[in-house]
Amino acid sequence: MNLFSRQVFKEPLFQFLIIGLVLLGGERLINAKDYSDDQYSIFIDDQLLAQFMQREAKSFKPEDALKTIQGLPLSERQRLIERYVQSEVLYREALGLNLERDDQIIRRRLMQKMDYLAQGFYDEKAPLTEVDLRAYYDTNREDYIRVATATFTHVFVASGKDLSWEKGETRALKLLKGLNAGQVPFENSGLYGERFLYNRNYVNRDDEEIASHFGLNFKQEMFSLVLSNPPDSLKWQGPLKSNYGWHLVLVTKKTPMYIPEFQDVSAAVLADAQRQQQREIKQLAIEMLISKYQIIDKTEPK
Amino acid sequence: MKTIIIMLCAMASAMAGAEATKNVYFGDTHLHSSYSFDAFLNNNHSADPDAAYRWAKGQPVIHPYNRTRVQIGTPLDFLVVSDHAEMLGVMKAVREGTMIKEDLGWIGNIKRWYAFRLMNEAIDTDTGLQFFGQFLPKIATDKDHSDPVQNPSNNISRVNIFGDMTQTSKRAWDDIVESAERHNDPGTFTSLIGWEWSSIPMGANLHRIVITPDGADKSKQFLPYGSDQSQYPEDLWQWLDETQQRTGTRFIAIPHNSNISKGYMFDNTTLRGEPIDADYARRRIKWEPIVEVTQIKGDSETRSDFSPDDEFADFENYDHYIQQGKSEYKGSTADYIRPALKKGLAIEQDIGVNPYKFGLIGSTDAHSGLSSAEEGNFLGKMAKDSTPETKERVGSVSSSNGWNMSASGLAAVWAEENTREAIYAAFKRKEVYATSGPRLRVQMFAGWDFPENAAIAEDFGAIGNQYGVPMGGDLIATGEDNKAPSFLIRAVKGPVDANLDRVQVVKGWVDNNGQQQEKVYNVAWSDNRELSAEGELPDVGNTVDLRSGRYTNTIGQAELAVLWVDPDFNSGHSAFYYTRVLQIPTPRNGLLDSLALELDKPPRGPKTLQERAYTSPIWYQSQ
Repeated sequence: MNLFSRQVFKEPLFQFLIIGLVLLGGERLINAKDYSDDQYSIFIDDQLLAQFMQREAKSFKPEDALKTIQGLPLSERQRLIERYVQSEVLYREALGLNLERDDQIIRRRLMQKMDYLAQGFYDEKAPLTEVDLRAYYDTNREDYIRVATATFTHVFVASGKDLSWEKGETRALKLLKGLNAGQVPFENSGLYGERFLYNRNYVNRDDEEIASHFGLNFKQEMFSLVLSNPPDSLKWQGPLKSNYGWHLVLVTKKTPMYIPEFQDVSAAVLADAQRQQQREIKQLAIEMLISKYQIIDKTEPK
Repeated sequence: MKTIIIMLCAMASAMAGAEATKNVYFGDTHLHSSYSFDAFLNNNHSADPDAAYRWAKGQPVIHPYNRTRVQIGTPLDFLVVSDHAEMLGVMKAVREGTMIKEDLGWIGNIKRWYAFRLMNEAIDTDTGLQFFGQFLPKIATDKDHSDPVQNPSNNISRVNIFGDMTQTSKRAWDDIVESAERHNDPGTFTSLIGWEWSSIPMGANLHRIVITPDGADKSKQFLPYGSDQSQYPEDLWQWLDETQQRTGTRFIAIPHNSNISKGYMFDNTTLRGEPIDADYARRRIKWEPIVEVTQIKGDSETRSDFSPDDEFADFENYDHYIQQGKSEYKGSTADYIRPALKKGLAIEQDIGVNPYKFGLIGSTDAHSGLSSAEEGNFLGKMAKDSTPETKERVGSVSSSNGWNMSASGLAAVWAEENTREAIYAAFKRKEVYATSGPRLRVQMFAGWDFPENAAIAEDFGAIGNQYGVPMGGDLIATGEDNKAPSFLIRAVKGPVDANLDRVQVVKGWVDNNGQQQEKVYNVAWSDNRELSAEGELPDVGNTVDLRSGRYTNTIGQAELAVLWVDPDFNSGHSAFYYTRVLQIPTPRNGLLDSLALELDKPPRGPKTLQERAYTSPIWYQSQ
């Protein structure tokens, strides 16, 4: 027996067990508070009760809550404790029955928390280089499309109110002859017609703004007019109809929709590429987590 | 006859060449991103300054709450991301675990840990709003209208639980400044650097937006001054003065939401209850040349209580204080800009300086990072009240909810070009105006000798500047007793907005008995309506279909222009004149949401509204 016990003490496995026991016991002793909260005991103190009360009331004032708790009459305190105990017991029993497993709300909430954690990996990544940015630009060129713009001036004949549309058109046609006969230049358009409610001259204005001022039809017709490039050609065209009357138009520049060069949009590319990088790093983090798992796929595709 | 004749005309004609080329630019000087503590606690975790600028420039962005793609209808020309200086970036940092913490000692650290935990829990359980509530002042029990800062229950020390937040806030400020620098594109889009000083003693809203036209080199030399440093505006001005001297940074401060200031914003005394003296008045008008008159939390022009003859008063009233718990709303003449402008004239008679000689702008104060003032594309005050079903927030800290919120407003600026310098200069000379959201284009000039046909002239702006002064300016007495000033005014509807109902001039003055007076004149209107002998005009009508939420431009007019002479002019009374332009009725955002929800009517607020513009006043100075 004595010999046996001595041999046992020399046994590495036994020594290991003893050390393990001491460590575990010590840890239990140090963290005794946590362990008193084991499966069938419910630990309550004022702090916890105050927290519970605030959540019940959906009102958060830590100091006030603690003060209220400490000043509660015994009967009310007891009722609060009972409510807490009931909620805690139901929560734990539900966990015991694994009821959280198939609960979509809990699942989504936990996923959201993990998702948020995964975002945190971003800062550790090396900054983007110009090569990265150019590559990003090349694959996403269409995100940087510049809309069509035009430069033109117009002579306006208000119609549809005091002057009928027909009479307005006749007047406009007459004006048109005069404008072309006199080769009236861009900068003198203000000497003819009436004041338009928006602008007389439109310089490099985008098609959406032109459409909002004159209407969609006008915009389409205006973009199909020929260019006037004095002194060789100076051609007033129209009349084009807007929501407000007739317009005689002199177009000097039309820029169709185009994709700008990298250097002209590098700031926007940087911002977009960074956002993309952040998304990718997050996805990578999630994939790393997934890689810890073996997926046993027993689906049966037809 | 008086002999002082100012050579205004001669001076103006010399400038006319440059003046004629001014354009109007629309923007928002008051927008919060996820760096504002209250924005973050109200579900804006993702719309940061970059998202705010991308939205303003017209790019599609992800909505911070409902995660859909959203896009502004008409892009803005300029934007100020103006986050609260108090706890700047702290909530975001706590949430993301990047808070730079000061050692508060054993107990302090635990307290802070607990506060962080509560905050995170509040966000997890979607009760951020309630959590936010505890940082608000408690209901005022102040009956005698004494200094609210000194009221014993005005205790804002609760935030001390977080310890020194300087380092975290500095990092957030640098982010905000750098984002503004990245997005500033002179000539195309302007970003101005700014923040909000959020003084709210006893629930009296004294908030100011602070803006600088200067860049990162200067802005990174300071940390925004917050109400945690002082709740007195005089201390803010002092700091602005010192910081300007130290770093060379220029500033202006813009008071807003005077409508919920509990009678303190435009008072007869200083906040401390001391009489306003010339020094105070001078400092105030130096730092605060403009005021925000309309925004999501309501309109601050005037109320029928003190403008009983104004049938268009009470526009978008917002009767909800920012505080813990509820107390009855009581509007005061110190809360609204029209009575304040009159009060300013009266104070000037006493002390020689007008502390309330301010111009007017609108802005949104949205906390969603998305400056949305378009009625049909309104995305709420906070991120959360952006959808019809979440407008009715349960357990709100204030008595208001999403249905009270107004899709307003815009700051319109007459400037030579779209740059920081030009826009800041326009703010300083008050050549700016407010709209409740639409892109109303409004010009107003005052002078003595406009040409007869000026109102229909092609070069309207050039004539206005040549023969008169623009909005925000001073009109000096001619010395001819019987001559009345005339006003050259033109209003044009926004290209994609509703037609105009009428143009009005609002005049305020102090009479011989020292009484403050006001009168609203109809000066131009649509559809050939007849003005009654009393100066009243029949309603323009209403084309809004209450079942579809659509309207048509079959009533009203696209443009109204007039040369108007003040029929009641008295050269001995100093006066101010500003223009108010009204649109025809259009559906309010709440109507559209109630239709989507198939409700009989919006739970709060009217079904339709008449959007409007207010110009900065022109002041007539008697001799």
